[in-house]
Amino acid sequence: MSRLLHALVSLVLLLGLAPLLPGIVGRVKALVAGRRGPPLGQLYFDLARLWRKDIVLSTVVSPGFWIGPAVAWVAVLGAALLVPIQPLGAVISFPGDMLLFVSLLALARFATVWAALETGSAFEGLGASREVSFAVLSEAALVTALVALCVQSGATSLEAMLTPTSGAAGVLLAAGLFLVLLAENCRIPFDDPATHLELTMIHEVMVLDHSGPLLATILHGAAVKLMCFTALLVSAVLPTQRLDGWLAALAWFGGVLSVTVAIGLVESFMARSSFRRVPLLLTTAFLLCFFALLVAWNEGGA
Amino acid sequence: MTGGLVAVWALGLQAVAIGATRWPRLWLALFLSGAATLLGAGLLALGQGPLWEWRSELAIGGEPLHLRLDALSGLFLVLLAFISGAGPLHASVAWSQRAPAATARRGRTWWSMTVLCTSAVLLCSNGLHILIAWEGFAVSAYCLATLERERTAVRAAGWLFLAASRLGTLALIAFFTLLAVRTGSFDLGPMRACPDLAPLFWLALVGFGLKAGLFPLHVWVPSTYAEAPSHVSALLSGVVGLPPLNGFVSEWLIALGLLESAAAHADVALITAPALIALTVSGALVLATFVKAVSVTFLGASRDARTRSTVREGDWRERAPMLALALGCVLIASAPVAAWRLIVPALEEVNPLWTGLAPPAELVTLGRVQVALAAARVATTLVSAACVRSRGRRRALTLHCGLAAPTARMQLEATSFGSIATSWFNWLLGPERRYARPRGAFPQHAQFAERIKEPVLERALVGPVALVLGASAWARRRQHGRPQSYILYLVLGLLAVSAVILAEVAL
Repeated sequence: MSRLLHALVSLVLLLGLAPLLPGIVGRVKALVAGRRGPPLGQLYFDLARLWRKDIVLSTVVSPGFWIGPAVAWVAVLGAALLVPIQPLGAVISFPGDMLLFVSLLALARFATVWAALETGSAFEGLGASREVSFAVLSEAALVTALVALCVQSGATSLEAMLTPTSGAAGVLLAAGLFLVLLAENCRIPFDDPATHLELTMIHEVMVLDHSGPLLATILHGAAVKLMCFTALLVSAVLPTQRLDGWLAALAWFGGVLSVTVAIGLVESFMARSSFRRVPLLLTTAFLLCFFALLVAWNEGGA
Repeated sequence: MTGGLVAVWALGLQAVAIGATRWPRLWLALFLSGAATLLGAGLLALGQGPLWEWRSELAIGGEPLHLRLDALSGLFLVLLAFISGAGPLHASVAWSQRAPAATARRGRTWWSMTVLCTSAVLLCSNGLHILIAWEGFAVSAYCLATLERERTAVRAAGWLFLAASRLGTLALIAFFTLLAVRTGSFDLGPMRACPDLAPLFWLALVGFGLKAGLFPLHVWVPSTYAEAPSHVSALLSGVVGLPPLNGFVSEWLIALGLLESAAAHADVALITAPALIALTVSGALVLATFVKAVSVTFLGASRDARTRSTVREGDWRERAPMLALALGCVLIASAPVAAWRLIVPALEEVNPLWTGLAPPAELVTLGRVQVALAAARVATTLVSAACVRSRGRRRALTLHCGLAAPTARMQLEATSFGSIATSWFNWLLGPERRYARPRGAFPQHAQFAERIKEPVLERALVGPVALVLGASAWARRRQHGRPQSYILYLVLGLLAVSAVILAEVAL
């Protein structure tokens, strides 16, 4: 497959399938609660509706308010293109690209927080403060997990380092990365995307003032980020590289679906943690990844 | 040969500019042409040109003048030319319209002096002359930082800067003197081949580290940067840019080195892997701090009426130099290979083993990816702008979740913004808090204030400084204004001298 076609297919898969993931999570939650729930493609309808709507701007904002979501969306998409989709592989891959992955996620966070603070709202300020503070711990956990993968595989590019191993390192890494996924995507127990209480929100409160196409960009970006982290977790844990063609694709999609269902189950059976416990949970994620690193180091040395 | 002569020509232009401070436009023209010439000299030296050396019979302080321009000094000349050229452009509006004429003239004089002395430090190859130029730089930087000396805070910051400069200069005097004692001359040569000089490194680290603001020698940095005019702070800190505009290229290169050692399972990875994690944590903390500073200063609504009425948007002449420096960052992000090629000749001067280092292939790819991402950012921003232009005509108050009459003072303060992250370090920072809790059904007054003491200046140095001040005060009391005491000292002195003489006679 030519590089261009590969890039196009990956882009379509990423951009097109990403909004399905929140729909699956919502459906799982509804089924567990004994409801029918919204349709799987609810986010597609929401995005189409928002794209047609008008934009209301606060009187105090400057252009940073609407540049922020655009920059964040591109950054998240750029990060997602570095993560391999089986059996196609990653669109962009080069030694050291994991560092670009981390920096792009940081840039997306920076742009979102900037746009939130443009409004001068105390609520959005609180959300932004929580976002950047908790990111210190979640980024540490993410980088530790990536360093563990790097030590395990001896490679520095994301595609090459995602070579799953069995045993303790694999289990620790899976648990750590799953916690990072929940934290980075503002899912329960770190944040509740469905809450109506502004005081208890992180990500949702930062985008309260965005409307119309701007909000659509943010929601789509969040879905792509969820897809990106799910793909990262699946590729780090599931040895799909050893399978060929359709079988690999099937296994990979099965993995993505399992992780998404797992998110839904976590959201069904757990409540959002109090903010005091969030750093504790994130430290647990960091320690899990750190132990995975130690095990990988030990196995690499043996 | 040419690069050095151009550099000398640039110094000459800057020296002439000092004489023209009375005429702002003439000064600006002379100074900018000097900066441009300096830039040319730096680029010539970097462009693999031959090393330029000039020895003169002319002796300053008993030492013959020795100038030298290699690729390393060339690199720093380029940076100096950029920042020193952008500064006066940025300040031209303030100096011509807002500041009193005398202050503006002083500003021009000391700006020229600072740049002249810094260029001299970069060009001199004699330890004594470097010390002289360094001293000139310290004094002129002090005068520049205290331009608005009518304010107490500026004077206090200036004194602290001066005190730190003195300490740094003391360390450098010790460094260059010991170096001269060991090598037999003040002339500086390659030190790589002389491992016995290694202990002197610590003296140089203290001397230069104080001026560079390295932790824990940074005591003067927070107050001086805050109180000095912004372009002066930029010159003192040598700021050329910050992430994310540079595409994290420099950070990426550092982290890649650390990562590669971890991937190779080298023993050094026991240090580099934790270092990489620590680097990420500090990066995330920097992001939080940067966002806090930007949001409190620029975003949202102005908190008090006085600021709203007096603060205005800068003139294009004030913004253009900042935009030019920001553009430099963007260029580094888009063409990291070109930046690499520019720096490699300077690296060769540091270590001959690094001669002709080719840029790593991944850096080439990174540059291309950065360009593609930048293009995508521009495209989505344009789409976003089009959406706002066509459908964003409605303006409304910021959503306050049901609050009918929000005011600007309800915005989050910087302390509250940083409270989550700082609370994790309370055990280390020990913040001072003052409360006045609201009381009763109709509270009249409530207050909360938090202050974190600067760990070195206000904690570690308090004890030693108190000791020195106490000893100085005691010595001062002993020798100040009491004739009886003087007579007693004389008698004691005479007795001591007599005792020594008697002891010698007896032996």
